[in-house]
Amino acid sequence: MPRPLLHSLLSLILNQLTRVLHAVCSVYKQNFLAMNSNSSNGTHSDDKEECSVRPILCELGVITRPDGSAILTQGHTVVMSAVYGPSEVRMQRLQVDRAYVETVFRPKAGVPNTSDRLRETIIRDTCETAMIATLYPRTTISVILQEMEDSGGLLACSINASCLALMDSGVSMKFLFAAVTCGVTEDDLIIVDPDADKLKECKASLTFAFDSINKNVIASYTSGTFPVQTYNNGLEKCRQASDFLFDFYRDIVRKYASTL
Amino acid sequence: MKEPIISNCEKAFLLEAISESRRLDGRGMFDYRDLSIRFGKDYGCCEVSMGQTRVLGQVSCEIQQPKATRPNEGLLHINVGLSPMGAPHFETGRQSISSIQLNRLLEKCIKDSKCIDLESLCIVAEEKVWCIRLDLNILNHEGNLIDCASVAALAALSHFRRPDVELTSEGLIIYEAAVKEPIPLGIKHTPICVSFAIFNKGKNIVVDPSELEERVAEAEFTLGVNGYKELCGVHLSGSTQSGPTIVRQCANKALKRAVSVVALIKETLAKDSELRGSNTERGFVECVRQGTITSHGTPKICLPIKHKLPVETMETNHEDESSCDEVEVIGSGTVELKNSSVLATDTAEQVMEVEEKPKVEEIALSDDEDEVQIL
Amino acid sequence: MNGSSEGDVVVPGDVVRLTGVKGKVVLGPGLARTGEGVHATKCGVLRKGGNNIFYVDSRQKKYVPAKGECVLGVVTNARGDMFKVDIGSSDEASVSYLAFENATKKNRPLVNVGDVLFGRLLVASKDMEPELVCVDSHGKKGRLGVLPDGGFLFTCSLNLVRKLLRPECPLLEALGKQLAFELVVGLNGRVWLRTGSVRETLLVADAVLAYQHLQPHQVQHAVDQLIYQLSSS
Repeated sequence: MPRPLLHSLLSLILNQLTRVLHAVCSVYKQNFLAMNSNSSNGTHSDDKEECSVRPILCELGVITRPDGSAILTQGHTVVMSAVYGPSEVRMQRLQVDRAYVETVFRPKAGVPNTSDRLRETIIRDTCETAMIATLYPRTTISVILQEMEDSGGLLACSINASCLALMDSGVSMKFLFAAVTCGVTEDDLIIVDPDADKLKECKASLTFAFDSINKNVIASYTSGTFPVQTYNNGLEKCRQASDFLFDFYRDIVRKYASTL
Repeated sequence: MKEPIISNCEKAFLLEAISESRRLDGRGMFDYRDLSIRFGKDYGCCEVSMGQTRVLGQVSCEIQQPKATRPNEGLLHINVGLSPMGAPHFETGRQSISSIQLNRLLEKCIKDSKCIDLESLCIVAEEKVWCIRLDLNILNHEGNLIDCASVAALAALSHFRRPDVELTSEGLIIYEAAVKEPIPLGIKHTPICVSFAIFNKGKNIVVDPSELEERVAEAEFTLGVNGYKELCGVHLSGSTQSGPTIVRQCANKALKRAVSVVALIKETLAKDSELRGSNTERGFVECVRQGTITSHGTPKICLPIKHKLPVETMETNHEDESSCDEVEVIGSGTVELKNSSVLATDTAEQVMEVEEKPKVEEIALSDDEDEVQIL
Repeated sequence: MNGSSEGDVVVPGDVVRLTGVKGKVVLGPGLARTGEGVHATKCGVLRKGGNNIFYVDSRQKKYVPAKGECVLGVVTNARGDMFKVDIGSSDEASVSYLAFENATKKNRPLVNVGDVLFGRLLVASKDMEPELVCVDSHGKKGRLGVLPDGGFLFTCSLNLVRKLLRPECPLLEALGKQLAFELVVGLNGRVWLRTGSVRETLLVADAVLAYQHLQPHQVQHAVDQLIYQLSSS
């Protein structure tokens, strides 16, 4: 698909979603009082289960050639990421006022297909929002992601891995970002960070990327059908789960800071 | 991007060191870097690292029509992707000379030496055969890509299993792994490549050259050898003036190397199948080294997700901030271990304090469904 | 939010509090002014230099040129009036053939492709190609210029370079007591090293690279081991 078309499609979807979000909020406000009185009746019995995210492991500077690199595992989903730049730019991509941000997503088997291209675009837009591209005019910053294993939440893991690689590369950023996926089951329950098996039982999956300052949404990608409230619920849960990732990022920096 | 230039002093120093029989990374002239092979969760997926050079291999399969000239043979495609991750001068979508050379060398070593039993991949002659595709992604280029890629290729091919098929009167049935045990490929012999870099008109030879050594060397000599001590490919790039003894000398070294590498692959495969049998395989999670200063991990996580309504956060900014602070306190080390069972097993596991606030129940959908649908 | 102060670990987006500072404040790399306050833009440790200079010490490998910094570069083109030098930044730096000691229009300096240059950045702006000079303000080369043969050039991370260049570097002090070596450190993450023998060069280079992840108290032990290795064979 040509990029401009993809862009307009994406922005259209995003616009629609934000409109829906605003609308839902107003609905909530109306119903808030009524709801609140119901809420004391009981809490979810399976709170803990649905709120746990899969184990996370990561290593920075895992490969020697790139300017910044990281490997991140979330459960059994493993993504390796690398950042080159700011480096030389090709003439046709030269931008005089900002860096050209390029993203490459490599699947582990076969040649990249349309869904990989879509992933690239989402990751590119997320990275571009976070980094201060205007500090590096007439350069390229490339973010390269290599899928190593996919067992659910590949997009979220890729976004998080790209953030780690950018942190390692020392490219200036306005904020950090973290993505969380949640699945929506048949009875509209939300599972945060599902693995591949759980995801198979879900009718929809939502992925959100947040910034580290205000926890605003940077990117949102959904597949499947679901009621609009569920979107909002999922958004809120993912938002809370993202706190964990931001703490995780800070812990890594704290760990290696003693050797700086 | 251009490949960065090598300064004269690096070249001169390397040559001086080589002539003193020293290598920059402290190895002896005939020492190999550490080779490690890890298998993924999926069949046919492996990651091979030779020192810092890393290659990811993945085998996949699909059913295709065979070539008219060979109607009863399956197909094998080898594709080496010089991912821009590996080195800054690798570009996507463009076939560079080095990628063609790598591809061709591997084809020579694996495909042309008839390592895979292609006839067993035939389902219906002239109609349906299995097409095996081997993808190799270069993750990091620190020299000797060909050796690393060939080990990854062999390991991935030996690890791979294709689904079982059955021809019935109604057509072809492809069984899922859960229904019928998938079938490994027929591997007739085990070819790998062993490379040598030649310096000073053949006076000095090193095995497993690093990136700098490769670029400074006057010639690179690659031998395809298998575990049965047979040659299956010879390639010399660059030019050097030396006698024929050098070939024999290299071949002997390569044969010894092949035996040990093949043994390592077999050993790792055996370990992997053992782990698979006991259902404890971990996949690539072990690629992440723990215990280094730049690595970090949390083995078990429970999130303090509050069932808060979005309205709450929107209306009262103040509360949002205070919850932010709480999280910071948790992050900085004062972790309260609430779950006693976790405490007993591993004290290092972080369990965040679960908020004690009265939880607001999830919003039921029934009431405002109509209103939403208007939107 | 309280904000971070000197010595704290910061990540991009953190508010930095510059309390107890009077007069002009200089924001170094890793800090940016946004509307109401100062934010960190890199991950690392917030540090304060002399003259109220604040910056974030971070992990970084790619060099972004800054005016006045001394860098090591490799000459990629030595023809014409402007030589091209690869200093590891996005653009190649240029150096005029007149920016060498005693160079005149008739007396061209002897520079070949592949030579290693130690120069100071005269022009370094994000919008312009960087330019090097190999003379100081008196027209003398001082320590700048083409480095002699017999050394070895290797690359390392930028924060390691900064660590090496600190006024008291425990590693270089400890090494210097035991071995004789010449070391040129470019702020672009390149180090040029010359010692008496190949073996010594390799060992010193190893020690310098290992220093990246060494904590101050581990340095003496590492150096002792190195000297032991050197004397044992």
